Amino acid sequence: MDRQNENKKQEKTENASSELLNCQKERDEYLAGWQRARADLINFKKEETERLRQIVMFANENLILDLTYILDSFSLIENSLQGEHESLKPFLLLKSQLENALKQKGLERLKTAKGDDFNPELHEAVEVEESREEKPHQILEVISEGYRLNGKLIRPARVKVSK
Amino acid sequence: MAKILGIDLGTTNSAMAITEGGQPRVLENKEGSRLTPSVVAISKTGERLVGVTAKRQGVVNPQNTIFSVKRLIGRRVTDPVIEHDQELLPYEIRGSSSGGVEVKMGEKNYKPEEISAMVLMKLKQDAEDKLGEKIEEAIVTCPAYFDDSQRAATKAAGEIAGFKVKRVLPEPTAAALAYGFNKRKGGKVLVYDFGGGTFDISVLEMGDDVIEVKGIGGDTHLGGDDLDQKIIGHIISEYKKQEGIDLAKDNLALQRLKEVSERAKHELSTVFETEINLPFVTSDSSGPKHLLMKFTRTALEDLVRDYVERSIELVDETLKEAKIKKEEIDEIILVGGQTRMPLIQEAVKKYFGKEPHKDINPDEVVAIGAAVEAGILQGEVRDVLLLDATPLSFGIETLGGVTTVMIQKNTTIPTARTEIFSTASDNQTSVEVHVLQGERPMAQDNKSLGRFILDGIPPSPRGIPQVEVSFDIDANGILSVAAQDKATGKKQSIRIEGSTNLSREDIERMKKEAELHQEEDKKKKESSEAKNLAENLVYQTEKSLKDWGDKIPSEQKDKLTKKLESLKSVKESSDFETIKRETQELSTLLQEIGKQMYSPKPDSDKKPENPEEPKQENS
Repeated sequence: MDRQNENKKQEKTENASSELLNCQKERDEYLAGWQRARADLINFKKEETERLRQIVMFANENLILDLTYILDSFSLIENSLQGEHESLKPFLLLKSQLENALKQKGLERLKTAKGDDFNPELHEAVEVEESREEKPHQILEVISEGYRLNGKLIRPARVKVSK
Repeated sequence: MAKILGIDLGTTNSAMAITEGGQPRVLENKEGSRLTPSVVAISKTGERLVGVTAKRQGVVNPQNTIFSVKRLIGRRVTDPVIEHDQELLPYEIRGSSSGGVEVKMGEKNYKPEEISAMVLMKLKQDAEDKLGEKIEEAIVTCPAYFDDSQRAATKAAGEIAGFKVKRVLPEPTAAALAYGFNKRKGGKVLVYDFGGGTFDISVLEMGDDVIEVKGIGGDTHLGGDDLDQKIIGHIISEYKKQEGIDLAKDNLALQRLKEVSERAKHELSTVFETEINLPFVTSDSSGPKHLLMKFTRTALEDLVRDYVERSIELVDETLKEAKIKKEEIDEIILVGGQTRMPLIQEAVKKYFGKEPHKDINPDEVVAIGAAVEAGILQGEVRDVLLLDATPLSFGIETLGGVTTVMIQKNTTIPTARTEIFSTASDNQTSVEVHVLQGERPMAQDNKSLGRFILDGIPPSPRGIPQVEVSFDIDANGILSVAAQDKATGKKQSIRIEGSTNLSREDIERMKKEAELHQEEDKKKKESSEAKNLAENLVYQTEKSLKDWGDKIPSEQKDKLTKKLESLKSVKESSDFETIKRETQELSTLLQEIGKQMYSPKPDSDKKPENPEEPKQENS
């Protein structure tokens, strides 16, 4: 009789401890899931803040890119009317006005010049030409300027490169 | 859990996406762009370039700049396609010892999968930098027509790049996954993929576990680039007519022309007319020449109509070969940037007689689909954590029978929200909390879930007691609403089960009703708000009269009392325009009196500026 009782008791204890183990396992799982969810939210908020910052910084990217093509046209006027200083003046004023406004918004013109090494990180080759003056792989002519917006290259400089 | 990268390894461009928190997201590369050109080069200085930098130096270095390698991958050298493409591609292509293909770049020969691996490696690196964690696994997509050898080569490319390739997924299947069509068992989907250089058609059937490709077709040498060429050709011939100058001979002019014509094509997808404007495009003996031309959508459509019609013929052929009638197609998906063109969308719609799907960015839909598949693979364990959202809003009834929403519809649960309310009349010792569900602004039109009374609030003027009402919905949709008087701490609550498991029909009906009654509901709410406002003002005026009625001239006092009585008489009517007007008038009068009380005596010469009125800034 005693033995039977003992057995029952032992079985009960075993059941209880296995249930406890299950509960502990479940508790750990739930806690981990909860922690993960909290962490996900915090991380999401951080990323979202960064994303918003990026959006604010580059919201105008397309508009500014379009305006750089107008700057190109000004440069073309400048080049083609060289020597006619008086008639050129108003155009140059307009150009610098536009350039200044864009500078305020974070636009920066790349410094590209004839004789620089060609660098595909910043330049796009549109033509290749034999050259006696320059070493191979150097810029022979800057066809259109390149631009950065808040540090990001939005337009490479278009260049003619020596063979 | 480690993320799996979904990669659309394209002929001209590649894109990548991941699934995070159950949502797919396209990743930008190091240069900040969502598309990476599938171009690899060894520069003159011996440096390996991948992506946009490789593309930018292509003109300088055509023999060592490898693009469109996807056309070669996994093919035998004897394949007629190789023979054909050998003529079009500027780099050297030759047979390998094993009968495959090799391309020469720099001093070495590479298998196409090694070139593709370089693109994949860049994507891997950029994704790791962006996410700040290692990515070991990937899902790479390939065209549906790829045979075993081409798929094996695509997989090999991924492995060379250091990925464990979990799956090589057909591109149309990815597109269908991106739209979630895999859940429609037995449905038939047609994917119309008009890319930069290739045009692919696939017919899919959604099976129980798999998406089966039922038919494929298309043209491997038809794409957006052909359309661009056509536009450039058109501008050149028009300019020749105008000015007698052939721009095709001027390399620089041609470059600029390429750029503007591509932009014009994009613009004409949203507007009907644009201007092609290239000052100083060229020059002749008479000086600089400019190009200025109107370009309309109609003109563009006339130019490219043949291509679009050809694409529809190919769709027709593909369906015939697959022995599927066009009426059997349940959904049509548009893939590829060119499908933004309204002409294409209309042609597809006309052919099928139904609207094609185009909501997901057509340049990214394949990468997104690959990420969705990645999400399915990486997320199996997390399915237990699927969270529900409330289908309808929850709120309580407030003064004037208005519903004040506490939890908006579509809020993910579990969630909780607390707000402080007060009493509507003096010495009110109890409040009734009436819990409502629905989208209508007036309480009576919404579903009543239950109500309870919180009493024992100490008598005080209206608006003074603070009753905190909190709503809490647990993960099982059980809503608990509690109200507590902040002064006494006395609390009452109610528990409502099954608040979120309304039938689909009920939800739809309630939403539809809200839409249907929008106008009259708005009026009812406005009128109720006007009444509340009038009530408030009457209370305030009466209080003011009691407090300082003896300090104002009797003449004004009479005026005020008269106005007050007149508002009182109309405030119960349904004419809310009148209530509003009367309220406004009384409010103005009250303010005037208040203003006078703070002003110095009228006999002083100079009146100082009224401190209540903000000074106007000098502009």
